[in-house]
Amino acid sequence: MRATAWLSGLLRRRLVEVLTAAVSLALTVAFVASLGAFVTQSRAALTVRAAASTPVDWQVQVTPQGKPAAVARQVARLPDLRVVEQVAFARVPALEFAGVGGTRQTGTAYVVALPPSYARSFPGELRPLLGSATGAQLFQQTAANLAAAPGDRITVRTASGSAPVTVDGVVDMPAADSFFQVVGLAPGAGATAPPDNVLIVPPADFAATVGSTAVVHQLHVGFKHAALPADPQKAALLVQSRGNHLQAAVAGGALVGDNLGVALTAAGEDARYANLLFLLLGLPGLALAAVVAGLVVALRSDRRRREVALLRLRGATTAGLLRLVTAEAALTAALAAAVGLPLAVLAIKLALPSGAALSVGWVIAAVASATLLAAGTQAGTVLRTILRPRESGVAAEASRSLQTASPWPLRVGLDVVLLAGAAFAFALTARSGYKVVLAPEGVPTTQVNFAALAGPALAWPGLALLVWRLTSLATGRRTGRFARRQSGTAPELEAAALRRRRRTIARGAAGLAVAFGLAASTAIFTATYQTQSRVDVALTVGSDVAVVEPPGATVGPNAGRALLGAPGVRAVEPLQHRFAYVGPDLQDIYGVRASSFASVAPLQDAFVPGGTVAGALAAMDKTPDGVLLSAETLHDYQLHTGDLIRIRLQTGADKVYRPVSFHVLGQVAEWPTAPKDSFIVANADYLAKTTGSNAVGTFLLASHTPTATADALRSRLSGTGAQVQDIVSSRAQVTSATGLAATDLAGLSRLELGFGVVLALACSALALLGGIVERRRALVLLAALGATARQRGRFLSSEARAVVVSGLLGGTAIGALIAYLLVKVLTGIFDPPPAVATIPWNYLGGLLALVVGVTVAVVAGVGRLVARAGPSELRDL
Amino acid sequence: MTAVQTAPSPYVVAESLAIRFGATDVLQGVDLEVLPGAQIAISGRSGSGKSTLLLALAGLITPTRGMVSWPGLASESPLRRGQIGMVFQAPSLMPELTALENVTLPLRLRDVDVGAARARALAALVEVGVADVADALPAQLSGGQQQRVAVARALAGRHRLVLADEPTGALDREHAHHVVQALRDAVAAVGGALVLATHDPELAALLDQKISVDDGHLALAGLR
Repeated sequence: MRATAWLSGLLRRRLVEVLTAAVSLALTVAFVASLGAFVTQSRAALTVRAAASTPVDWQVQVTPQGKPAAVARQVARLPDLRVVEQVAFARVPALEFAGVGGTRQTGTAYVVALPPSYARSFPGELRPLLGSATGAQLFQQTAANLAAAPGDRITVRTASGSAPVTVDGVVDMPAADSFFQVVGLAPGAGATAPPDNVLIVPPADFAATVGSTAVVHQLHVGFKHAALPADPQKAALLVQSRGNHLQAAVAGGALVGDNLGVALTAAGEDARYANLLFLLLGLPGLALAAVVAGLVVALRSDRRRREVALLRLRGATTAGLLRLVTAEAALTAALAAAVGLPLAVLAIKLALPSGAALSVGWVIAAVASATLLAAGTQAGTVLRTILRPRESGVAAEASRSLQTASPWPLRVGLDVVLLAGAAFAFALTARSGYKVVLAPEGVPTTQVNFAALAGPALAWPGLALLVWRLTSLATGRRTGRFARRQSGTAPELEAAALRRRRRTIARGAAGLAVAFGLAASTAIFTATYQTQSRVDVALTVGSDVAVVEPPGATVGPNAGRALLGAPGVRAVEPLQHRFAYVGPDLQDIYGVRASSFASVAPLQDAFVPGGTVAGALAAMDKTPDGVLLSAETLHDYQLHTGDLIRIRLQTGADKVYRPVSFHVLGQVAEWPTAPKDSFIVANADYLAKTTGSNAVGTFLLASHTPTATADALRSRLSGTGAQVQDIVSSRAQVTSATGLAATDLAGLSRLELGFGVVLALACSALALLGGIVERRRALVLLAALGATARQRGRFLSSEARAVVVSGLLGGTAIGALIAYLLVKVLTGIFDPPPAVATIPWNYLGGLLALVVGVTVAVVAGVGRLVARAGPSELRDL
Repeated sequence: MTAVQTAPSPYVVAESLAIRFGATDVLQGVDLEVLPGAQIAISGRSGSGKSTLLLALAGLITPTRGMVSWPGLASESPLRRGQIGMVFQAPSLMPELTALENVTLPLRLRDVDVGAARARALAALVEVGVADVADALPAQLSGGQQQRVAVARALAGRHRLVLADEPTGALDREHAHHVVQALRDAVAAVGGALVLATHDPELAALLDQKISVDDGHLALAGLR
């Protein structure tokens, strides 16, 4: 038979079947293509974000052998150049200010020459806080150290003399670490703390200010980021190669501080997390889509077997049959692509952030997956029929029908082997501290520790097989003895039927369990991620809303009462902020009211390693001079709980740093508004008493309506210098430590949750239909034997109940276990790490209701079909 | 055409019965009464409408025209009340139930308790000579054995009216005779009636009345 005649016949006589198979494969096409769009989009977003977060792309430092003009000429030839600014640094012995409280002098300070256009060229570098944004600017910390303000005249002490400078403004430099980096060191070769004392002057005043002090010249370079490749690793490579080229061109005349390359390299690492997410969340979904396609094809496998047998009787050769199957697979895949790609476009539009789109590579991958699935599932039945020995008679029939024996993977205990392997792989990953993205020594790029993925990869099939085994065991033991006795029922016969159909039931239950487990685990994982990203943002802001007082303000804690009247506010807590020296290290110190701070702050037990937040706050409440220190401080200074520590704080009216005694209460890892590195948490009352100032840095507000509260407060506090931040508007600006912004994962989660529901429903419907189609003749027979609709319904629903109850119980267990594995294996993606997983009850409840609804619909629909059994079906009995 | 008998009330009455499948008239203007005690053989070519007539008499097919009623069975759905038993052309057994369970099933659906149902089922299996495969699944039985199990199901039901559609198609002559005799005895024991469709003139000859179906019309073939 010619393939075209076969296909034409299929389209004329089996159109519904062909379309059903095509639609099931279309799900695969849409899933793969839209997941591909996520990977492509998230990579591009990482590149864009990494580039945007870099205030200055390159700091090209002229070496003693180089000449600034020659280096500038080479820099001007760089491709995709946006802007170049000349910067000069000089390190002076001290800055000095004689104010009302006496004369104060800093330690070593930096004087930096920045051109007036610098703030416009690199808008993220400087943040004006007080006074004018032009002229001489003091760092916020330096202004605090000198107790100087705009308008004050300070003195710059140099080796050769001194120069007076009038302070025009106070600024903050958020990226001071990179600005004051030691250019030329390998990235990560050693942390360099930014200087505390910095004075910025216009280039015209620089020479007079620093005198004969040695000057370092830098060219700060900005590139056109739109010209970068979308892939962060490719972009990093391009930028680094460009840097190497420049260094070669100036022949040792300059070193490149490649901030952009470092940021893009880090983004490349984050892209690996995006790949991991694709592997851990996407591949199981793809496997499930394949299961759905397989179930659809299985629905017509009996008919297909008969058709193939008939063709063979008419003389079709094996090669001829395979040609027909290939042609049919190609037709199904083409139809699947025609339906699936528009579906993917719709899914991308609905789920992913704007800018995400289908990519050619992923479209090819999606269509190839569908073709392979179509060929694999359709050829399977044909090949089995071709390869089966030509048996006939009772033995052949008996061997084909009602297979109650376990499939070979269960007979050889593959489920136990896979789960043992998963446990072993997980234990190894746990021992390594769940490090799945590695930076091996001597290798310039990071690598994914694929062995860490073995845990979930082995757990999926292992758990599915275990559900199969347990369902088969439970169904095989049913006797109906304990069933409620009802008139006109035969529980012992229903149980006997179930026992002998346990293979079909267990297969359906395993399919449903995998589908439900996938949707549940994805939902739990993404809900946990969303929770932690909210915590991350809340940690940055401090609470739902934060009112940050301007530098130098002396607002006391009682001012918080006035904020209570703002709309939606539940509670207000003052948070003191000071600087303190632990040994030579300057650290942030936060003063809190231990008894009530938890009412506004997003605190989690993970913030207090080895303890609980409640315990730590209770200890602080009992110990007025108690402090919580970072792990780094405890380690570096060999401190233990109960130790006395003397920390230098600005005290008294003269604000001179003097030692104050505290007692160590334990370790703190995260704290609202605190930086990622070292900081201290102390009691506000003790801090106020010892420093002589109860000035509050930030008021933290818990609010039911953060946006409304913030808007009201912005309006009320305008002109006071206070800044109002809220958790909602800050969310768009804060990215996680891994660089995968909430918007990225929100898109993936929408995609996963949407397809999860569709696949779970399709799987449950098909798992049931697969069993029911096999039983349709038996149900028609029951009707012909006089069984009422209710009696037929019992036979039908007993099987559906067994499939759905086992499937949902198994799916819940799979969902919980896989979610646990995902959260643990992908710990690196969370910031801060979650103490417990977040359970999205609404989604899971809705999914459960939908699966039950589909079950009822399938059972009722098939029941009606059986009730309407036509003469041909009855005559076939 | 009407079977000759006037009283008591017939178990089933077909009046001007016509059944049409698509463009094909399978039965046309059929009038038939089956009285208690009647044993009727229906013969006819393949596709002449024998099976359709039996399905219509059982109430499993809705007539296109005319009507079927069961005045002697005093029920709107005698099939459901177990007053009518069907034996189908193909051995129609539930594949997931054993031979014994298949025979027990209709009894259990009619609320016969487990013990009594099993006893009646076993007796019926003994009657048709397949008691030795009572615990076998249909797939483990030959076609003939399956057909006898299906007949045993009708026997165990003690139906007032048994409609058997070629119930011996897969049996050898000896077994076929035995099965038909068993059906006759079973309906006679409860004062019931038997309508049996068959190609086999010898089997048809075992029954009291013979009618034939030709192109959807009934023709009286002879009385005994």
